[in-house]
Amino acid sequence: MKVVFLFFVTTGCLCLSSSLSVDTYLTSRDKDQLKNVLLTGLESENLSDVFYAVSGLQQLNQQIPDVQAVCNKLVKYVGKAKSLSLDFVYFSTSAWKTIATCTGKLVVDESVQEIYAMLEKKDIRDVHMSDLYFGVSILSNLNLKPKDITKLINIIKRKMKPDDTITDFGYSIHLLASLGPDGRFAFNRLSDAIMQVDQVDRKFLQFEGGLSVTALVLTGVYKFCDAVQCNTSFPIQNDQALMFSNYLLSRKSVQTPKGAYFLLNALKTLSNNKYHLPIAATLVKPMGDLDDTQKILSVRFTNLLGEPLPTSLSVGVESAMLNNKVVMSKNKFKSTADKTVYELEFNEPDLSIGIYSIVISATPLEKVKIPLLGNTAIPLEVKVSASSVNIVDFKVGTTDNDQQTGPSLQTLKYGEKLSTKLKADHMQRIIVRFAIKDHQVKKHVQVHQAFVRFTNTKTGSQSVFVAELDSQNNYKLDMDLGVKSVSFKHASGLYSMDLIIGDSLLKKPIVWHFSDIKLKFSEVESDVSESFADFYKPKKLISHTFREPEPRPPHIVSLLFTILSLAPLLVLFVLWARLGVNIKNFPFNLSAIGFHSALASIFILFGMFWVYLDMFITLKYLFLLGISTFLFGNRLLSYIARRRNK
Amino acid sequence: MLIKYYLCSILTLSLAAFANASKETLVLLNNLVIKETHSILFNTLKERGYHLTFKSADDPTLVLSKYGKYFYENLIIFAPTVQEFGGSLSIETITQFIDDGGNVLFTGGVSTGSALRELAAECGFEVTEENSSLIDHLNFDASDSGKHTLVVTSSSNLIKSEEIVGKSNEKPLLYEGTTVITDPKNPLVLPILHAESTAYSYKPDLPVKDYSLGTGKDLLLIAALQARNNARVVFSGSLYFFSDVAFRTSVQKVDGKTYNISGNQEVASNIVLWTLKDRGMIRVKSVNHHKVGESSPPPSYTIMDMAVFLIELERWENGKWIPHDANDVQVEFVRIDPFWRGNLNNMKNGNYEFTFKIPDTYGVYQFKVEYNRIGFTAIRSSTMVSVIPLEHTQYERFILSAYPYYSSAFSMMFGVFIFSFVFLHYREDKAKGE
Repeated sequence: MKVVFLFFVTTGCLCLSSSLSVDTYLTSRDKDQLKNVLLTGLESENLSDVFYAVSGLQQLNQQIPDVQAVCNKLVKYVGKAKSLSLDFVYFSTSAWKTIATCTGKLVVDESVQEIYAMLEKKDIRDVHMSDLYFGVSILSNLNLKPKDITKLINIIKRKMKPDDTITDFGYSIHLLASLGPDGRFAFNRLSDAIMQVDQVDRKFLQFEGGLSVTALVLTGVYKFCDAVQCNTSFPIQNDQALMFSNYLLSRKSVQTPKGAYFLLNALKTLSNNKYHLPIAATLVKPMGDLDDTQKILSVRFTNLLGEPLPTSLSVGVESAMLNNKVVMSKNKFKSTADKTVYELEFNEPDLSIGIYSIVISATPLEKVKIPLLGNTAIPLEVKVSASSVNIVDFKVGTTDNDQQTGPSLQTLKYGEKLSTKLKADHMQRIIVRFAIKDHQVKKHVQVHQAFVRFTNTKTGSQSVFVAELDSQNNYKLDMDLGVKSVSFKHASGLYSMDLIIGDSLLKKPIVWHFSDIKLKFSEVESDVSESFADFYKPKKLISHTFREPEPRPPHIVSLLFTILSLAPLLVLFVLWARLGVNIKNFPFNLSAIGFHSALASIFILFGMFWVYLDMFITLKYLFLLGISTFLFGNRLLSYIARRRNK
Repeated sequence: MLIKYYLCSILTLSLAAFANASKETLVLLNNLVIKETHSILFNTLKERGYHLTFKSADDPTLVLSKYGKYFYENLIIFAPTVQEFGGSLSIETITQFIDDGGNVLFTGGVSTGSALRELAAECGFEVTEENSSLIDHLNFDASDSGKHTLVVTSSSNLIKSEEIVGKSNEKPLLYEGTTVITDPKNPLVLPILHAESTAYSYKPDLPVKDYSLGTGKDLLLIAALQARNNARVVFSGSLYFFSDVAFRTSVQKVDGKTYNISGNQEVASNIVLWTLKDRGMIRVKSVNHHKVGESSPPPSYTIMDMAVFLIELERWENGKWIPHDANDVQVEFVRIDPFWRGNLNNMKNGNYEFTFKIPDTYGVYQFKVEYNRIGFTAIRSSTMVSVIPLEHTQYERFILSAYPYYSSAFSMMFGVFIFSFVFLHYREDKAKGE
């Protein structure tokens, strides 16, 4: 597996070796951002962040604000912690040592004893490589030394295994580097470890675990090689160094103090070592930014930290292409007052606009001890843009849809505005015609963007239409308003018309308000509902309409008829009174009283049924009352019959 | 004793699993560099309690669910160029994941891989052609590489919803990438960020033939789908939009306006939190209804009763449910069509009330609350009640117009009673008659 991967990496490097270069460096803006990240680390409650911040600021050559506060913080944290873990002590002592001006004392004697005990241990299975590294570093921070260096190296020898994690490997080579040339046994491990690197986009190399691990291993390899002197057989190939540089620089935006520290540390190592010096070639302005007034291309050569190179360079163009045609070669750059910037006069043969692909090389003029990397075959993309263009033959007008009458077009010069408002309705077309010419060479120019924009002056809603290019390089917009009324949402009214011309090869885009137009759309279609907005709006309220009650007669009429319906009873009483009725035959016996009271009760029961009783209760009572009425009635009638017969 | 220990641990384990359930998030990346270049966003999510699992998008061990149970609630795909997902992940499994309520955030780029294109199409977004990029010659940043593709877009192009994008402010947004087109009539697709009217989408290196790829405000930079099951899917044409660089950089527009810092961080983190259902979540806490003057729901309403409908809404904010106050919540009283649709009165603290008269037609009705507002989860609540006609004792009893009938009936009864007296007990006066 690893062999295959190595093969892939090496072949990948070989194929690409010609085009690898570094096209960015740590600018002062990047440094400011990193500084801000590091300053937040100083405030951190986390001791490791404090250490990274202190060391990172030192790498940036920045003052640490309020040094004594940081020192007090360290003393406080170390004093407060109940049991000191090794990394905790490592971070505090390293920060202490880095600041160097701290007054007071860190009390870590206990930990020192622990470290000595750890180094004397027979059974080292549960000793981590990171602990060893931290332990030995703490000793050196306190200007102490491990008692028996050969024993320590033996421990490391036994601990280092081919299947170590890459982080452990990083710690072990850092540790060995601090022990001097005796660590040479681990040299063969270096190439094994570098084999584990991941390649991304054929441009970046990184170890699994990201920035901090990559930086840890990378700085470790350089330190280790310094210590054991592997001059000629330095394990990192030149292309690999460039790819590591690219990876590190792609992580400029890192947001943690830890990442910032490792980034700075690694970039510093890459820029200051005995083996090679990767250089960054950058265009001073994005894509050169040339036009017919600014014809000098400036390229900056620096190391990865943006510092000037130790030598002056002879910079030459290897090839330059525009649209796959060679335009110049063998031109030389001139040096300038700024030691890092080199300039090229870019005016031959004639400066036609476009994007040039240029390959340049830089060779050192003086003899340098450390070979430069990434100085040959540097690809650059340079843009030459037109500083201004002119719009000619501009015509605008309307015509009827049936096309029986020719269009009435009005001519305008660029920059002017039509004095009268145009008018159009949904039966008409709007026509805009124009051509674009270069100011300098008076040639027709094609642009990427040629839009006509309509802005409703009331609502501000905008619709954009595209002017199309014909075979004579003239632009034309021919728009049927009836068809396009959807784009205007059928909103009639006054619109302003702008011409928008834009291209990446145009220095200044054109936005030209050339006319106002009154548009009229048919009313019928104007209330098209927008289902999208309706979905998220409150709906119309609905209230239920109840059925109307039937009309009733007036109260007077009802009362009159009530009286009328009672009238027969009244008439009965009046007539009886005239006749002189009596009830003198009433027998005062049980059956008579029973019958009449039962009959009255039945009628009262009916009344109660009407008011509140239900049918079942009524029937029950009626049954009882009915029987008693029947029996009493029977006895009463037979009594009356007997009395008559007497 | 041992059993007790096991039981205890199982209990706590399941509890812990439950507490983390909604926070499990799978993050798929093109390569692990993206984890570092987008660290601010990921840290924001971690601080909010999300448990992120980072995997490479073509990792052969990718799996979303096992035995019908999902390992993750949310899926973030920051792998613009992926052509095919690894493991058991495919367009079908992801759409199934969305159908089952999972949330997905995915980003494209100038070269968007076919897998993401298909996924976008499933969600109603049409990603513009391969290698095309958003270009705006009038609004690009000074740090643009020369092709005018690092576009500065005004925050006024954001959707007007505080829930999705946060409070509106002046800070412009940096964007670099591709665009999408959606059907503007699809109500479930929300245009979170659209392009300026001067922008268009095309391949920056080729001369323009036709603008079939869309222009101006029709182009969406970030689009969202809130499905009918409230699952949220967000597509951004730019991975750069969410990166640390975009969060921390200053903006210098080509017309000279400068801003200290871009608005990307606020907007992007709000959009992500919205996608993961940490913002814009509302739910019904309780529903109640009763007759006026009572307090508990009756077994059924009678026609023409006065009824009160009460609902309580809650909103998820900063990790807890708080009362949701709005003044545009509506309730419908529906048989087949709505008989009533009224605005619920806000009674403070998320309580709403509506008092109305039950219609004069009986049947089976529903109280329906359907609340769709941009940025919020859709609420659909329905409570069924039956409405019965009047019982025979419930009709009007003493109608003035009917007095003639009453009086005639009672006079009849009274007449019978009196007549029976007179008829049975009358004694003819013989003396007078003789």
